[in-house]
Amino acid sequence: MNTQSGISKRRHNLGRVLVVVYAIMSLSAFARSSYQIIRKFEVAPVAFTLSAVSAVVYIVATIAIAKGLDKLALVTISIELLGVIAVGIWSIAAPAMFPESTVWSEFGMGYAFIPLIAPILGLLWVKMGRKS
Amino acid sequence: MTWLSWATIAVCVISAVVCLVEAARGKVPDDPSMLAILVALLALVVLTVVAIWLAVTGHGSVGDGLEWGGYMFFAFFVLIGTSIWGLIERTRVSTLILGLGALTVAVMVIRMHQIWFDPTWLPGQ
Repeated sequence: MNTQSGISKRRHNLGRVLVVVYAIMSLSAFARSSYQIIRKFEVAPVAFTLSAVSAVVYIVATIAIAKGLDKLALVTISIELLGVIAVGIWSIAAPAMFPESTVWSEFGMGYAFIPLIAPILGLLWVKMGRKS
Repeated sequence: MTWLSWATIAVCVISAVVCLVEAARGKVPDDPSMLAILVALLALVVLTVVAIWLAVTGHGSVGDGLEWGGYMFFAFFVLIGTSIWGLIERTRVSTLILGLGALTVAVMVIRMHQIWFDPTWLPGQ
């Protein structure tokens, strides 16, 4: 096996795992935001709107990785990484804005930091695509 | 309900470990891993039936039943979805995915346990 196909095989495997991780993140962000908006939107409109936005971004990223759409994946994954860092800092600096948690609060601590780790792996996946 | 909930969590964790070990050994989804997921699915069915029965007889969850049901719905979705994937794509990555799915479901059942008994408790508080 030469290096070229070695990279593309590893990229394929990483892509597979990422699709599942992202599909699960999409589901949980989607389910959580739907539930929050149905039951108690007025309690924390900022947090819940962010939850809904993150759900949409995750869904698009899942499709982009599954279909191998590198540019779309790069854009959505970057939004996620910025989102999790910005909301992470914001939720710690101004907890009053986030009486209810979101997927991205505290850098995704409620989700075992997967929202922080997944986009880093996602960017690695995009980069591997550039090489091969 | 307490022990049943914990037993379900234990079953999901054991299923996840079986799948992850199988994946580490380079196995495609087969008897050990698929059976482990099947057992986890059965545990979820039992938990759902008991929960509905308790709710109907007036001993339902302390927290929001809709939230509990939402988690349960997606827990089934994750296990069934990853199993279908495992049957279609026969690679070791699919075995790893089965394991990650079961682990996710274990975490979801822990959250359901909280909703059922003490919804005010959240990690980090």
